[in-house]
Amino acid sequence: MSTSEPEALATHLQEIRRGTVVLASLVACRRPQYGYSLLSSLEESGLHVEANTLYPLLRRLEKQGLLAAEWNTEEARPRKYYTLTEDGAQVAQTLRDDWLALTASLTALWKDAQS
Amino acid sequence: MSTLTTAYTDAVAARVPEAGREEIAREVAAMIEEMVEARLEQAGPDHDEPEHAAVEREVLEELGDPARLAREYARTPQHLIGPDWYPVFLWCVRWILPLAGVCALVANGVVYAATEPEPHLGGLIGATLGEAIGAVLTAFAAVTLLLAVVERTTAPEAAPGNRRKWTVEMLQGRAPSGSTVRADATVSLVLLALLAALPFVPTTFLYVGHLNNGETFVNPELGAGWLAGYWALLALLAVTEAWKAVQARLTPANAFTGIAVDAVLTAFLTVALLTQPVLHPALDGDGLFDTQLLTLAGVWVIFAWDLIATLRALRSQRRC
Repeated sequence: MSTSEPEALATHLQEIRRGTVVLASLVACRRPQYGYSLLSSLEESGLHVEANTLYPLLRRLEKQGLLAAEWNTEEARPRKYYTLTEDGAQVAQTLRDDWLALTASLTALWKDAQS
Repeated sequence: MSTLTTAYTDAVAARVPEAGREEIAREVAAMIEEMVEARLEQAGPDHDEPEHAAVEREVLEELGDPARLAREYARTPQHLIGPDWYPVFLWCVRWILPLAGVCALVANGVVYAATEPEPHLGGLIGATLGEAIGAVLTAFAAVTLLLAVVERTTAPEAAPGNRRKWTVEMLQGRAPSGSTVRADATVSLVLLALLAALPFVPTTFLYVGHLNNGETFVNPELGAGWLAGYWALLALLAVTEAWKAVQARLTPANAFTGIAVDAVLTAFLTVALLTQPVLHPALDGDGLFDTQLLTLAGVWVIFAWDLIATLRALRSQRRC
């Protein structure tokens, strides 16, 4: 492996995971989540994402109307809770269908290449 | 919220569009507190202040450079200059462009004054402004093209933002409003230079040369000691402005030194204007108002304005 290959691999992995984090966040927000609880949920599911990527992403998804956000000030410290909206649920469903179709295509391609 | 978290939150908020600034600052603060709390919980039930500070520092360094986090939030299009070189581009725009503009203004002003037999304001503006705008646009184009080429011809790890790890020490010593303080100080230095040149300005410069046959606005009979005092106080004021520009922040020391020198200059001008004709006697026409008293009123209005502006800026900076 040349010195540039690990960097190239890291870039490809980053790209393949970028869209996955959006879908995973939408799915996880079917029940209300605040930033750190979502970060932990994703981590426990094997999806590592940096906090400095996730929090701005949540804000963008909120702006796009896919997540609804509300500050909860009743706890010891104020927390912003995110919940999936109807539009968000539709987008998540479409993304999931597409994801499954892509997986099926890749599986078929992988088999063809091996046979 | 600790001072460090506040400084980090402010550093992010200062770099995002104003419309979402408050909400983003609140989100970032909540994010830091959640991360710190979770890590302290993992570490055990009891934790002291140094431990809290160490975890907070660890969290902030993990979040990284506030400028990068702000870019994640802002997601503004950066088509020509990418995120790695964008801070350098902003730095160049803030420093090189004003410098190019001021240099072009001064150089063209000097050339105009040296070559024009009878210089006047309209001619000076015409000769310098167009050239200065041209110089600023040329500098902008040069900086943009240069950085666009550098970004496309160097490895990503060579970008300034990627060369060293961000640490919390980089938060300290620079207020978010540093560029504003620097810009204010630069404008003040230019105005002080103009004030210093005032005793030499002929009345023809403002199209009133007929009043005293094109002599200066200042009384030619005025004692050299008064002029020397005037220039010495202006020089002191220039030093305090340069101090603010170098520190890129308003501190009680530089703010109150500036106010003190300003007060001495105002008192000096008051005594000068009340005890002798400072302005050319031919300018004191038969009008309703005494020109000397009007000038004196102007001096005090400027002093009051400066005093209020400095105290307000100092107070708002201390609040950050």
